[in-house]
Amino acid sequence: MPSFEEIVRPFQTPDITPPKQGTDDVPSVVPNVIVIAGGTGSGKVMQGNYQATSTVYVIKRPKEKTS
Amino acid sequence: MSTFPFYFSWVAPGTPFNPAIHNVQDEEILSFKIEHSEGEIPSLTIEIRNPRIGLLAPGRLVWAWFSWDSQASDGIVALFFGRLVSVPTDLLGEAVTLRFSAQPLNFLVQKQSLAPSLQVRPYWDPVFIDIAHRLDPDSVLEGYSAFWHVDRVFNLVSISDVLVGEDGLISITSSEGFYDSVNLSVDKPPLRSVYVKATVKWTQQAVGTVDMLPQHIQSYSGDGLISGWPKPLASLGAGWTVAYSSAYDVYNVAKTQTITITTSWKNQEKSHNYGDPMSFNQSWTRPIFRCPYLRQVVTSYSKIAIIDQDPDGFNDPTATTSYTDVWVPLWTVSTTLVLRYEAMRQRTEDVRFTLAADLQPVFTDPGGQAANFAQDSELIDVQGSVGLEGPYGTDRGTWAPDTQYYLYDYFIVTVAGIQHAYYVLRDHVSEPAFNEQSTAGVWQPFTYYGQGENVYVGGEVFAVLVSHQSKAGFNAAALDGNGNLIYQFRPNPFSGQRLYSPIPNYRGAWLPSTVYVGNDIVIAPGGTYYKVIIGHTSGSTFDPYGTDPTGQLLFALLLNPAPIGDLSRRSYLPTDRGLWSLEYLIMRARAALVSRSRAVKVTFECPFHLAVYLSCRKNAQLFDSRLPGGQATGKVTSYKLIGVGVDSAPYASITISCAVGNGNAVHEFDGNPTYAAPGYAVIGYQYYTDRETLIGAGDVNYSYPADSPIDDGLVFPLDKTQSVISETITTNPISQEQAIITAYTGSQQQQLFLAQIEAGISEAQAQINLIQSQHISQAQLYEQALAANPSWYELVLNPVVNGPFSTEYDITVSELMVPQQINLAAPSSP
Repeated sequence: MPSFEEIVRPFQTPDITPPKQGTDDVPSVVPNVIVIAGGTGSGKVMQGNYQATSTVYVIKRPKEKTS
Repeated sequence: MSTFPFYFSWVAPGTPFNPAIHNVQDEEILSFKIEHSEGEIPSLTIEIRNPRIGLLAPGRLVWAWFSWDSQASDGIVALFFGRLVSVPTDLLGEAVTLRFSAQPLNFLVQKQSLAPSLQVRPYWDPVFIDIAHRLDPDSVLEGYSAFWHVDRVFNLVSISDVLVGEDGLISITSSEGFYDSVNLSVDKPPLRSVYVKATVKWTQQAVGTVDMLPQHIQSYSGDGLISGWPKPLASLGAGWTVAYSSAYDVYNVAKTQTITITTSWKNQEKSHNYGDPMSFNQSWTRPIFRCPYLRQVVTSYSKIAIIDQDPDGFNDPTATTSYTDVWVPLWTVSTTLVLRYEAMRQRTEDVRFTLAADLQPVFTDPGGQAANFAQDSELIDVQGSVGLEGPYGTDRGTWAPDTQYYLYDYFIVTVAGIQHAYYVLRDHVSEPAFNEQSTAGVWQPFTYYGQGENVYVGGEVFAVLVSHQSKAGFNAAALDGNGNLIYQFRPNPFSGQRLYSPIPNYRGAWLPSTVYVGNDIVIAPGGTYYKVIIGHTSGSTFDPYGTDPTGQLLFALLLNPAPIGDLSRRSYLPTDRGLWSLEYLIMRARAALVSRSRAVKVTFECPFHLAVYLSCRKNAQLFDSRLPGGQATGKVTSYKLIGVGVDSAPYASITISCAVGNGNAVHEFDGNPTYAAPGYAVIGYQYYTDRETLIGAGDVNYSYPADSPIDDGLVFPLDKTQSVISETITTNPISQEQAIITAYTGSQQQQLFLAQIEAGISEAQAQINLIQSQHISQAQLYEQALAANPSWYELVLNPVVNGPFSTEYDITVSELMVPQQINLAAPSSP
């Protein structure tokens, strides 16, 4: 390679030179996209109840009268 | 009459030469000179006896044939056909000099008609030509080592290479060349290298969808998932939006019903014995779930009956059992999520190489000083655009009803005789009639509709209230699985997101007899897009080279389809179209080197008859022992045919320019296959590294650039693997159950109940207090426990609106092999 070409094209090699990052544009840092679906929920809290009452037969003595 | 064997005949424009008619001397010729230099128009300067007339008077003929009587087998030979350029300046003299030009009246038209055949790979690439000059025929030659050529007899326009004459070679022997006329000079230092730096830019664009696939998520707080699930059409940022989404409460937990079951029994016997059961009443209230659930008793109370056979004993014949409970269902949420990406990234590719010429030494190397490079090296620094010019998307011609349209389709619709163009903003099937305010596509069966869209059915527009996939038939009162109304009639059909967006200036397919204004964009019959530069009414056929009366082009060529082809591509130069651009740049450098390789100029004179057929499309070879190697071959760069009067023989003066190359050759190399051994498959089946390809005239080769652009690695169309950095579902029913159990305060409440009894409050009142206060409190504690243990879906995506990305390619090119038209190292003799 002539001497002047070593100055003009010092980057050029006999083999294929792999591409490299250009200097014209530098990528800006764009943050990743974060999607959060859901989160706070109070669920479905429901109430119930049960009540049962039963009675049986009893003989009740009449109260005596007091004088 | 003079015996000067030349004829001059005034004729009408376009008159073909006829030796039987034009063998006249309409003027008395005293002398003449035909001159033609490379890249210039041939001219005839003729001295005649002053005819004392107005040569440019109205009605006079201004075109003329000039011919020579060979007095041999060639007969009368036409030498020049041209038109008078101006009136002579020496009108008062006995002799006047007339100047004629061989430039045809349709010079520009001829160049334009030639241009398409020259606009070919690798010599022409509109990428590096600004829009105003893409149809300019002069810009065509930048990649050619050639000049325009005008034939002096037929006025035909062509191009001619600077080294290789297309019309052959004339040889002048040493005895034919006038000895004293031969002159050799070194014109200027040859150009040894050209450094090329080119930049191409485009906007990488891609549109597509990525399906996150259905999920079935179990959680005790499924309501949070449903309410927070991304809504259709919502923007997520950095190029992502929600195309379709749904979150479905599989067991309809949100609308769970509560039932109360009451039973009652009473002893109907007329006589009773001691201890007989007399009545039984039961009431049971509970929610009805179709899903698993967690149930906990909050309060409970029981009292047994006491009877004593002793009539004086204590009896409490009523037994009571009661409890309250809290139910917490386990939701199952079925989700879909399809995301749409609209990528847009600015991309730049720089390509650099140096093309050096294989030349003989002409000057000694001055020693590597920067100032010396200026004279033997050149810089070509060009910028180009390979992206789309004109509308983005798919041309759908004229809008039609009941037709499927997709995002970024564009079409023409004529309203009141005026053409309008629109983009499609959402996939849909078009309505029966066009309206630019339309918000609804025709409802289709088995189609996904997102909440917020409108649909058109039977002349009415309905809003989609619930994201869903449609059934086989439309039902305005349709409900989803949870009983929610899916559609709602929209009284104002234009309320909602529009389907179309106007495109200014786009006029669709070019039409005859149509008024076009500046900046209008039309599609030519061949499918290429053009921009109207000068407003006009179109003719019957499309002519890209059409001009206005002042010769200004009416159209400019747009790069549409874009040179990048698929706009989603990551790289340009390694593509086949990119290699075209690269080859064009090499051709630009080659043209500069070849033109400057003609460092040696040889001028000589010879007899007239040897040069009557000479043109600047020929090579000439001169043999002369005084020349290095005894001969020189070169391209005819100029010549003169001269006649100075009847007393002198006419002669020719010729200048040739000789390339000082070494005459070496460069070869093609198939490269090293990366998959199978050479011969296993034909070239093109597999990728070859280090491949060297000959281009143009086969005097230079280059190596393919490696296709590995510097960017974030995304390859469109995207799939889920490429799009998603992480995807997590945070939902743990077990931990939620534990939180619920932890929040259970039932035992504490029981202690509080007992404390009230001890304080003298009746059992019944204590029970009421417990139910009214603590029971409700327990439910709130559960809700708080669930809120503190949320379930969520988290998705992290790669941004697609980012960049800019820039990649540099250093290309390896061979030396340019230049012919040896003169051997400066060879000896000469006197």
